[in-house]
Amino acid sequence: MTREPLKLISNSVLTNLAASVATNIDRYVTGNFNDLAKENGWEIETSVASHEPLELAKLSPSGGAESEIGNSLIVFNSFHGMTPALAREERLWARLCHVECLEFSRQRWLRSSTDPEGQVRKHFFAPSLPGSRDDNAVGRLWWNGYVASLATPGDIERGLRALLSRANRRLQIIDRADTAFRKPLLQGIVRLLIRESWFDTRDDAVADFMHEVNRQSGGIVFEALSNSSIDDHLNRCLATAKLRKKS
Amino acid sequence: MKISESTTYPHPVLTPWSDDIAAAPLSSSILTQVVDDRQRIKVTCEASLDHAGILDLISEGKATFGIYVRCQETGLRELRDLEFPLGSHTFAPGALLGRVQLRPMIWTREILAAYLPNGAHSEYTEPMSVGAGQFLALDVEHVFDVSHPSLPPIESIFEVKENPNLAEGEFMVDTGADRIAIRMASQTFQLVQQLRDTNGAARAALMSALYAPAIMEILDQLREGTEDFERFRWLHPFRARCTSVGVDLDNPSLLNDAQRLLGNPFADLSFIISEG
Repeated sequence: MTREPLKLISNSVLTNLAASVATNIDRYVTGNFNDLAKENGWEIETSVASHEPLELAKLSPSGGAESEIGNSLIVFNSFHGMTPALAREERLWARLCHVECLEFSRQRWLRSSTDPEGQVRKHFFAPSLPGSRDDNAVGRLWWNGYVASLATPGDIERGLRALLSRANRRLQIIDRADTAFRKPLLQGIVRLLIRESWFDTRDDAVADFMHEVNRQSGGIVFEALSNSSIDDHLNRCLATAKLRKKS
Repeated sequence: MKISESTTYPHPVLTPWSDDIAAAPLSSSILTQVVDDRQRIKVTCEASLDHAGILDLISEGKATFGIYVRCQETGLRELRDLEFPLGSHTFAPGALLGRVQLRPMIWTREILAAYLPNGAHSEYTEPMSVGAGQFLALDVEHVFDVSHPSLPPIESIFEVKENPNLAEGEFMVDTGADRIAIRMASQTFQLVQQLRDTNGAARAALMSALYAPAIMEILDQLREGTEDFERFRWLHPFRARCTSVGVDLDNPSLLNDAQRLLGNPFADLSFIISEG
């Protein structure tokens, strides 16, 4: 299993790329950046993190939930030494989307787009936490895996299946930092998602539930509670959400 | 866990901002340091508390002291038990980045069947049951910054642009793109370009006149939250600069904060001037 250091582009290369999306649109849609990537500033090796290039070749651009789960597993498991701080590094995700994962990113996000420039700006760069966590073609896959590793340590696929099986779950849970990164609460929510069939009845069920969780959980120190107490609390939130939906 | 000074609790909570309990509030001093070559951050917290009842609950193991840590950049939300009154925790490599908010607090570890602390406000007439995982005392929030070595320089966030539709002598600020555009009419634009190419007082004065109100406008727009601007590249170095000089984006003092972000008007403002 060959590993290579993860590479970053320089700030100036990043700035130039971000300012030249329209100029470079043919490279994004059908071409590549291989000639530019030979220039200075395209290959800054990280000393702390590496990846397995052969694994990245297995990424599937089909876009369904199964593909998102499988891709998240590939990226999270084949990147070594990653930290949340490094995963906020736009220069890393931009390098991957312009070189190693260009074909995947193109097939995933540009294939049928009527606004390829907008899609490139959104999915090939990562200028903020939401940008790297939710939008970047590769970054979002690592963050999926990272949140799943917090939710179900030891069985990341189980967490990924709970969090990604319906699109709205990601939006309602992973996109909410106060939930996604608060381990005891996240773990309780995932336990409930796995055992409660009500969430499979319709897409907005999880939104109704999360509304109640936010409303009822403000002053609770979940870290001081047992799993069963957290489950009791979340069951009460669920019961209220169901009642509200009926009324 | 969002803690607001306007939040009320069913039981008395010792805080610096409420009169639930008439006693000196929990007060903490925080020390942060980088402890190894993996850039791990160690936080040491020394607490001061002068309330016998709550101190007894801690020593009996019914309540515990710790810090709630929130990091916008990495998403981290973590409550950490600490030794009382002096404790420390070393975070994993890369767990923290940029602005880190940290609030010392004391919370219940188990149900308190009859809680009525000394000094409780007269509206609390009877001892009450307080569940596990409830706040007993909150300190003010402490903020520190973990540097982001790869942040683009703040000068890259502005660009001066010509807009013939504006009246001469006026300018407007456009925050709806990756760089903040300061737009002005043609003659004004030419004048600004000439003065930007000079050195000395005229250039510094011009830049103060141009950038101070622009920054005030940005601070004003960010007052209601940064969500609408997260997709624009300028926000992140701007926010980092605010953190480093202690500007509170939720409650800005527009003129004062603009001066702080600029160093001070009419000084050497080259650090913030876009040459692009």
